[in-house]
Amino acid sequence: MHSTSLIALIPLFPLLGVLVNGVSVWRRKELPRKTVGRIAAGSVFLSALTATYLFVRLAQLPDDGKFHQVVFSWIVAGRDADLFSIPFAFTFDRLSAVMALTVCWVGFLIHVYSIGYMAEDPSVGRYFTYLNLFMFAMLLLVLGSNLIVLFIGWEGVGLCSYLLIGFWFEDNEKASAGKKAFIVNRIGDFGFLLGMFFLTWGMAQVGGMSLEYDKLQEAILKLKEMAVTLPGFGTFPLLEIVGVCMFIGATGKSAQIPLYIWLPDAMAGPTPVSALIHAATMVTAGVYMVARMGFLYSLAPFASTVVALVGGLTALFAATIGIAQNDIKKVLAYSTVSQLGYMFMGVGVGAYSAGIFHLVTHAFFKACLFLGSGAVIMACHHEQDIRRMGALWTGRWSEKKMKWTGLTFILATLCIAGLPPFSGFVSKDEILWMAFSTPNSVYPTVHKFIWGLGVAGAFCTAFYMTRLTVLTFGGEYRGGEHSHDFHHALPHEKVHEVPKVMWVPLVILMVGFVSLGFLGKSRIFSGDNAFHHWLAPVVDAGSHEKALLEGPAGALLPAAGEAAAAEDPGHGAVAVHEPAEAPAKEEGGEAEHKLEMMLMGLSVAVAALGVLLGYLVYGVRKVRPPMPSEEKSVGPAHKALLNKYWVDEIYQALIVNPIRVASESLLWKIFDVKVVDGTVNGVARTAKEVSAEGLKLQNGIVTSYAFYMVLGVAVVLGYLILG
Amino acid sequence: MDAYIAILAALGFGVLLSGGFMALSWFVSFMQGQNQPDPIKYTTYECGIPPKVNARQRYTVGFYLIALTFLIFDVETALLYPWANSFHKLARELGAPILWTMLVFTALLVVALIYMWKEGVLDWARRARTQGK
Amino acid sequence: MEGFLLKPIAPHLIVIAAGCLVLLMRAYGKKTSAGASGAVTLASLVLALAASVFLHGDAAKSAFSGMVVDDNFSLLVTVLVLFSGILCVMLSFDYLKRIGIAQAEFYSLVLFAVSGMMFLGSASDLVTVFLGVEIMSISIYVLVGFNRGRMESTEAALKYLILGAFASGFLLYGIAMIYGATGTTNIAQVAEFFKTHGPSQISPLFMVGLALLVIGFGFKIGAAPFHMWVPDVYQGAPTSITAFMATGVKAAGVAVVVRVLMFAFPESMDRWVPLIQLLAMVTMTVGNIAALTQKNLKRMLAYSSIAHAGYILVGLAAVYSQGFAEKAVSAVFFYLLAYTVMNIGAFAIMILLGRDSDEYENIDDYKGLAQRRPWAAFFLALFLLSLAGIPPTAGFAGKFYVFTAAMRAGFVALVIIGVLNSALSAYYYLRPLIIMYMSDPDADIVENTERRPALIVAIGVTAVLTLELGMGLLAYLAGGGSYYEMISGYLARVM
Repeated sequence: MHSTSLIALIPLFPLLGVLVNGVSVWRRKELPRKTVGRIAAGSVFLSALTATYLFVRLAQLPDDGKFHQVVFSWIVAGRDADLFSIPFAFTFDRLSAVMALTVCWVGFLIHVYSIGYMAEDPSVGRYFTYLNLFMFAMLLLVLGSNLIVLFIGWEGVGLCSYLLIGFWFEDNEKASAGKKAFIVNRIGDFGFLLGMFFLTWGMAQVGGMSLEYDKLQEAILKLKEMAVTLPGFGTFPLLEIVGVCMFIGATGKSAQIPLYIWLPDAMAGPTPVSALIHAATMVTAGVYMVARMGFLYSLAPFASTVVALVGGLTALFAATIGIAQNDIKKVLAYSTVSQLGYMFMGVGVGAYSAGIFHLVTHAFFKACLFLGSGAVIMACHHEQDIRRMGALWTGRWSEKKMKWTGLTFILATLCIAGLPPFSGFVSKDEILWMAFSTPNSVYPTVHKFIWGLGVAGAFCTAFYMTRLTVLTFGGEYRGGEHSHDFHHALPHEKVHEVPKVMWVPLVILMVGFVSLGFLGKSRIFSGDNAFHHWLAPVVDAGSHEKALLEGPAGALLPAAGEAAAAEDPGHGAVAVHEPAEAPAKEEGGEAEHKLEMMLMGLSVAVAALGVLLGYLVYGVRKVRPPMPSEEKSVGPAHKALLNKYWVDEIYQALIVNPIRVASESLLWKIFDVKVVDGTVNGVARTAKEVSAEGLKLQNGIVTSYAFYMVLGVAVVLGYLILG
Repeated sequence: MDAYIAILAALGFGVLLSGGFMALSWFVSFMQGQNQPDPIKYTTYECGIPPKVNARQRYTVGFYLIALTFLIFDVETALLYPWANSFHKLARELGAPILWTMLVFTALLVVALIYMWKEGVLDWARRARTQGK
Repeated sequence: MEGFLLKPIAPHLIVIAAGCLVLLMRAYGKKTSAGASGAVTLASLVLALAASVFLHGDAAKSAFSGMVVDDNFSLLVTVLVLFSGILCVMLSFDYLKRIGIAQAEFYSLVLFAVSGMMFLGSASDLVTVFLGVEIMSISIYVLVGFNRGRMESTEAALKYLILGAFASGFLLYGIAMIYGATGTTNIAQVAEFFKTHGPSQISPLFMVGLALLVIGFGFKIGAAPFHMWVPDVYQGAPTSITAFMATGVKAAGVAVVVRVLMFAFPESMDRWVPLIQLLAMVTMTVGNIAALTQKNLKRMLAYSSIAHAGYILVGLAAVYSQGFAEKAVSAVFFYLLAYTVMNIGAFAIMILLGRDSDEYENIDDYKGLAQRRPWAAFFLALFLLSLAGIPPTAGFAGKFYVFTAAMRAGFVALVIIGVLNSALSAYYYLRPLIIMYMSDPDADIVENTERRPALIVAIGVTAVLTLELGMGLLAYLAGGGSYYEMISGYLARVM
């Protein structure tokens, strides 16, 4: 562990940006618009440079090297054996390095893009203040060296999300979307807090009150032995409880079933915000957390299964909804939910590096898609409905309306659809393969089911993304029509490419998501996964412990050993411990390799099929989505998708309304007003009355004072003599 | 509880004694004298001189100051006398401090005296003059 | 008789000499301003403070045949009362001029009162205790009535004199009883008597004496049911004297209670600790309940002073915890220190705002103060929050230590009553805050806006200490050095 004082600079720069821009907004002395944007983007650029420098230095350290920095001792309570200390500390290991680089560089590009996108907005200062504040919180989240610092960032990004979704708060609907995001996140955070409480309790039992990752990892085998009894539910292993509770937090932050509902609504914010927060960074916090706590999850098979299963379900569920959406940003929002599901699928089956790799690639291509959609929206003069777009990238190169935007968007579509050689294919395929090949130790066949969900989701993804792209960029322009559904029209001539400051980031992101695929190149091509090797010392640390723990009983889980050996040949602890079985595994590896090739072919085929089908339906047959007036007459399945399975309505009916009614009639009007206020006011009134009555004794006459004294004397004497 | 009986007895004895004297004097006067009240008998006894005004009238504060001064120096004498009487014995036991602690004590009184003097407490005539005006 | 005989009482002598000097200055230089006497007073108090700290040695030294003693306990008391005295003088400078009682005698009386308190701290004989009580009380009687032109002031002095004399009688009678029971008035010898003769010697005579002593001291510190004088006297006295009484007199009174009960009667703790507990409960409750309906800030602070005496008694009862007595006494001392700074601070703000002969004591006068005098309002809020015991102020730390000590002694019920009382007290402490910050100012209220450096310095010092002592709690919880531990380190050597 090396210490450095540079880590703190990474979050510090955006914080300085917040101060400069925030103070100018607060004092109502707005800086020039360009300056505001430059300060914000520049601060993130400095962070990115610092992160890159540290990354280079980190690469020179041995495999498990890391940088550590204690900024100050923050919470200290108790002493000696009971010492509970939370330092405000950062750690820069291989996982945080990946996260910090992604967050900083993607964040920087989005800041640059925002300068163009927000050029006309009156409160640009406020916008960049929030955006920088978000960067600060997110960097705290990924760089913190304990769960508490992570939690500040966790809450901080939630706050910024609320502020930015409701950025145009004059619009009531947008303000409510912000509130919805905040409240749903808070529900998840409660689970996360519970998880931390359980963990703290557990750590106190094993005698090391700390939430530092290092300390947790050291104590993890002791924690594994502990159990928690929840009255009325039974006794559970501590790690399972912690894992599930923390995952509840992750479902809130990373928009998984059942708490995903806020993310589609979050599209109310400015589009770069959607790109930054609701695609590239904040929503990945849950994935990062699970990977970070990988040493815990790998010892909590049930919790991991829950993670993987929820991820798989979300991946498919959100993808199906995406098929029928007509708002360009909503489609992308559901695709984000779905892709996050893949990431959880990956970390849930123990493939932490695969999950994180998908996180990184997704950050690039989804940012590109979102920024591209922002460009389209701007080009179409704030039209978001894909039924009113089209023909933005048709004809010869010089005739194309949106040359660069279209190009990047189409490539990103192919990337998310999972076609080789793009990075989306590599990372998604990795996850699917790991899901297929890692047997579940709790439910023997559930991993196949999860894989099936993933494949089906991949098909839907390919389909709806093609639909989106074709409807937006291909075919004929439909925005010029007047109809009773759309009253204003925009002539095709008025559609134009966005300024350079906006499309250049798109191109850079495109370069990113195209080239990243070679970094995490599947071992089928070269047998070497650079990304996995980079992360393995951090995220697979727990697997080693797991292997050590289960080593003697390895016979119970032979497949787990195989998976570990296949995943990391020559590095697997199991292989070292059981050399006798190694040859058998070599053969198994040979068979597995074939299987993997087959599955890869299958997933490419599925993706290609989805793309093809989408192109046939919307490009060749030119099927047009139903207009608002026609939506009533669509078939039941389509209706269900169009209405997002009525999940919002169900929540409204089952949760929101009962709570509201109970709060109003029972809690407020009866409990609060009558019981609480009644008691409090009653006690206060009684005390005042006693006071007023008692003060009549204080009559100002010395003789009566002396008399009271004598009474007191009698009491004291009596007490001492008789008592 | 037994031990308190002694205290109680002492208390009872005190009450009996004082009450007894009262009762006795009352009884003796009852036996000896005759009850023949007249207005002269009901007037306040002031050394045989008939009182001119009500007893509750204000005196000049000078009286009190003089009384206080007298009291202080009276107590000083009460302290000085035994001290002087046993000076040799004390000096043998305690040495020089026995002398100058008493000097400090008298010095404090001297300061008080100076203050009173300067404040005009002792200047009875002036006080009377200012009062008269 | 080793060393310089007067060394243990050198600080006392400095104060007394300064008192005489001020009197003589007054006598010889009629034209000498009261300000000059004030300066001499302040200088002498600071000098005495320095002397008490620098002449103090680690080993306890007694003088005058065991009548006084200079040990760590007395040092703490001396520092506390001198500190209180210094602040009182700083409050008085401009205040006396304003209400037209700027006379040198005021300062000399303050000095004599301080010397009495110091003797109470270093008394090692019941006779010295009585002398100290009388020196202090007689000076204070006069000081209370110093504002002769104001009827309340005179009335307060008369009441205090009568009731105080009454209480002194109890005290003296108690001392006599103790003498009768043990044959000595020396505190160490009284303790020795019980140690050698055993608890069987705890005779009724002694118990009566103990009861009378507790009554006498209870009057001085304003513990219920001997508290009736407090509101009237505190309200009538000049404000700086009220502050002095609430802090200095109370500190000296508490110190002497500790000295007598802890040093002389440790063997009969079983008997007097429950009594102290009872007094603590009654005192806290009476003080807080009565303060609820006060509309006069000065009178409210008087009742609050009773309540605080109750909290202090809680700490006093906590000496019952075996082996942790010095921790409990340290908590009491810390509480006294905290109470001194926050209470004097609050009175200083009252003095700061008062104009001409107006005392500015009506709570309604503070309407919208935050708009007119934001800093004054802020500091008053700080002191009131501290009095209410809200972190991170000194008041909270004090209550924390006191209640912790009581918990250690196992007095759970007492602590619960204390905490409930504390909650109750928030009501009347926060009300002025609401009035200051949430209502609009009356147009016809005008405060004093003169520049008064001494007063400002006093407010600054008390405010800083209020926060500093409160923050010390963090150091204590974190295991670092805190004021509380410093005090208990001192006391550990004598207890």
